[in-house]
Amino acid sequence: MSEIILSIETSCDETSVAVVVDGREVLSNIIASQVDVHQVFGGVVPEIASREHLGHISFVVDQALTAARLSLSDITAVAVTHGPGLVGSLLVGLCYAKGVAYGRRLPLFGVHHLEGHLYANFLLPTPPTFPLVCLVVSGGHTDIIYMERHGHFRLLGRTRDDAAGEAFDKIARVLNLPYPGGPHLERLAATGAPTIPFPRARLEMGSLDFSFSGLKSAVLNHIHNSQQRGEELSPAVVAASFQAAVIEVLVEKLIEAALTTGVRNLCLAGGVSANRALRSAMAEGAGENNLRLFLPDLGLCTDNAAMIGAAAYYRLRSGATADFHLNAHAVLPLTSWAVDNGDNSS
Amino acid sequence: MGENLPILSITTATPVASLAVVQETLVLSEISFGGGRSHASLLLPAVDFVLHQALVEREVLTAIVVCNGPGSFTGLRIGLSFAKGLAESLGVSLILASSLFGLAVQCELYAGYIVPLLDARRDEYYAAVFKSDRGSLTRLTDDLAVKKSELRQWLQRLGVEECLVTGDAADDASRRGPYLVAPMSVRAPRAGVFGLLARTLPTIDPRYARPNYIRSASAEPKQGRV
Ligand SMILES: [Zn+2]
Repeated sequence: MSEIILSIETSCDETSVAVVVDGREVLSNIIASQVDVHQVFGGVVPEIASREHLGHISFVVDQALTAARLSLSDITAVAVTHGPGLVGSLLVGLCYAKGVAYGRRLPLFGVHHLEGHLYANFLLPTPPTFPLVCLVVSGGHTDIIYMERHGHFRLLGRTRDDAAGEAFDKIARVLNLPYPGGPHLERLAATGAPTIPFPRARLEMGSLDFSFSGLKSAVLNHIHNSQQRGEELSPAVVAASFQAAVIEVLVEKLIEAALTTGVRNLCLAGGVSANRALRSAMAEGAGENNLRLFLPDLGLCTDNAAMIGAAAYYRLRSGATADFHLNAHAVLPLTSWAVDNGDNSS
Repeated sequence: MGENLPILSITTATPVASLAVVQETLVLSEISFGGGRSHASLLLPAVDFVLHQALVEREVLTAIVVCNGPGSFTGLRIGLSFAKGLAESLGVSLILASSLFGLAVQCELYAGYIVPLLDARRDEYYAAVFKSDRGSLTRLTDDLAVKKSELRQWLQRLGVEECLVTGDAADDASRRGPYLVAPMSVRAPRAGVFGLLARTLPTIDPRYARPNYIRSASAEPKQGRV
């Protein structure tokens, strides 16, 4: 029998609901964005986001079921993001999902948001094979995760200060780009040459951690100094140089992670993995090192419920159901749920 | 019509949450919990418990009563989002109930003005004024937010001198005027009471149900994204 999972993702400012069959086939993936609502504030306002989620959730579920040509009675399991994220936003999706699962007597799965991003790779026509290393890069995270099998996650490196996407947003704000800054900065960077040698933070030998705060300060100083000297500043050149500095380190560290663990499969995930310059630089780096690179569909890089449904399928197969007490958490470490088979060869 | 058909009642508006299964004029089961523990975590186990205690299968529920405010924004959303999911999956309607109305009903034996008050933070109460007269309760104001320091003037303007205050802010308010304080046993909203009132309250398509927030959202963006 097929597993038809209704999945819900409300961790930030997108109300998303999907129907995913057997972790592979996305029948629908509706994303109701609140970006217009938050734009005027220049950032996500948590209380407004929570209110919007509650106002939209039922209708997004209806749309997802209609698009999948199914009704609730066809659903065999319910999955929901339970963290990390804005807790008020998460709670709306979580409590709604609990209501549906209980009402229809369906198993419920709580999925970690980053696990979801990672599993967007398993929605590819040819999914990755294990072991793999994945760079999850978004506005909240810059993590390198090693996976030996489904449900097994080992953190190899992470940012020590700003997430890469957060750095993108901050520089975009300085360059007076509209909210949300990341995609606008990418478009601007495409029109300039990366000629300013901003620093690359490589940290100590062998570390797979990241740091972007030094780069951010260097960009701010550069802009400030040119203004002081009354020089004409090309925002496109600043954007391109900043982006190049971020991408170079991201590519270098993910490839280093693969080489030191002896892994041949690389994955990208998270909102920033939609950045085309990052995708092509990573493809180039993978090619040079004879590694296989997996890139999720552009539409599955940013927050969406299909990735949550994909991740939940593997939990379902292993029986990792959530109990009635499942709660939402603003901070939630990514922990393995795979049953340890005693093989610690990694 | 409507005989022997049980309903589930949920309130998570205040630090004390309450669940009940009610059939006509009978509360079949009821549970309240507080103490600062997470409503989101305890709500579903409690729902399952009250249904078991009432010997009612979830599929025979004919409606869900949910308190939609005023109260803690997060608390209201926990109750309403759960109630929406459950009502939609069971194909039943929601019935919305005011927390302040429920609190007033719990004091309706008192003859005179009843003023339920909930702590709304930011130095305000959520408040409403009711008049009880030999078992009939009349609402005199909407549910509102009132500055704590202006409670007395506000009541005086409404011609209310002597009244009974109830709700989780009743003690606090009693220091601000010559008010009678409701006994502790009736100061927290009880789901059973909402359940008993259900037939007098409006039903709504669960998809359209919203909290009565009273206040608009504060517009402070969060720095950094998720
Ligand atoms: Zn995300």
